[in-house]
Amino acid sequence: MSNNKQQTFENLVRAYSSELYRFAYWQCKNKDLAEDMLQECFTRAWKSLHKLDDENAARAWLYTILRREIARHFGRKQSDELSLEEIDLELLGTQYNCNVSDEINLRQAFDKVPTDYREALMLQVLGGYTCDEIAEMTGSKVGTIMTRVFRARQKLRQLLTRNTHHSVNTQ
Amino acid sequence: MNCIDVHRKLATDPANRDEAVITHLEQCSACSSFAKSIDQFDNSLLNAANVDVPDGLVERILLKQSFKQQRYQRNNRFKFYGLVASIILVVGVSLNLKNFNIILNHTLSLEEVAINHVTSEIDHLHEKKNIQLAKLNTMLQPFNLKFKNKIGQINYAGSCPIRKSRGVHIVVQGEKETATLLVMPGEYIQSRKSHTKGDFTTTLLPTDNGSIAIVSNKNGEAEFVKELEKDLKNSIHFI
Repeated sequence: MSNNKQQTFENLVRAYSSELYRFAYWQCKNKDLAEDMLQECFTRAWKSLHKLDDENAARAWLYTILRREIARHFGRKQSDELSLEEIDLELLGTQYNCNVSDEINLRQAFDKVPTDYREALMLQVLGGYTCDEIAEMTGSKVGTIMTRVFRARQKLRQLLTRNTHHSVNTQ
Repeated sequence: MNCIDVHRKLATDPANRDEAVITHLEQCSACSSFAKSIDQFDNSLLNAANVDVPDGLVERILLKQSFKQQRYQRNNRFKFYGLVASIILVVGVSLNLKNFNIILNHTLSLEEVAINHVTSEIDHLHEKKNIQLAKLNTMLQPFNLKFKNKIGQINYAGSCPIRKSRGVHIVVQGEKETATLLVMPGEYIQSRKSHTKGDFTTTLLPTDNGSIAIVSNKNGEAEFVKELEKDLKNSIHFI
């Protein structure tokens, strides 16, 4: 084992473990399982570190490993591709000016978003990746990813609007 | 770029605003309002998604990795030991096979062993080293044996393993052909005996510390072998 490899590994852990943990958390909805997934992710990363020759690709590479680890744990299969055309019909007139100040409501709403949609959304929100980049990471079509993130936001907006109305009505 | 294009871009990639989108937003208040709402929404998403990371997460990951690394190195050490054990096993089996040949030799008669030995080292029959008596006796000294007189021209003399222990392999030149003497300490026999196998005949002579075999061509010079046997009896001396 070279010290160089050890140092690179440590740098990767320190740089990306927090955001990867958060991504895992929203996919697993369980703190302990999220940490386990992250441990497995880094164990696999250690084994394959020699394959990583571009430091700029390290972050996306770790996300890919983690995604696969989570998918393996839950025995998930690749979802069906979605059509981009589905967006347009619902798009115009949608506003996102609902009450989102309540983080607890939003976190509860995350749980109700379908897994594939949430995965794409979290890669975008937490990872800051574009739809093109997410499509490349997940091996999906760009249109599918665009539809997923759009639908994830729509779902959250609907849930939060309902929660807000519910809160107002119960007061 | 129209409003639908801008909405699609903002609703799917809120942070990804290219020049065309920015230009449109500057000119379209409806889309600008939409952009502000989705920015606000995404900020809230990010805040909500940023759950607390457990304390010591990095240290636990590094610690687990170091344990795994240690385990891996230990396993590698076991693999190394396994490899060494395998090599020892292979060598052991090989040695046993060699021993098996020795055991096999013991199932053969001493006469057959002598003939087999000559045929397995047939090249010595063609050597012409002209070994002097003094040198031959030096070679025989460890076997407490020496020749008092010359027994003919010695083309080859060397020590080699013969069944139980090491013996001496001597090739003597006759008038037309050669004969081989095998001095075999520890290979005791009761009396002189002869045996023919293939192209060779062997005559075993008892000595004080074992036996000597004379191996010659079965159709060779009978007189030469007889003379050699006689010379041996007269010349051989046990120290």
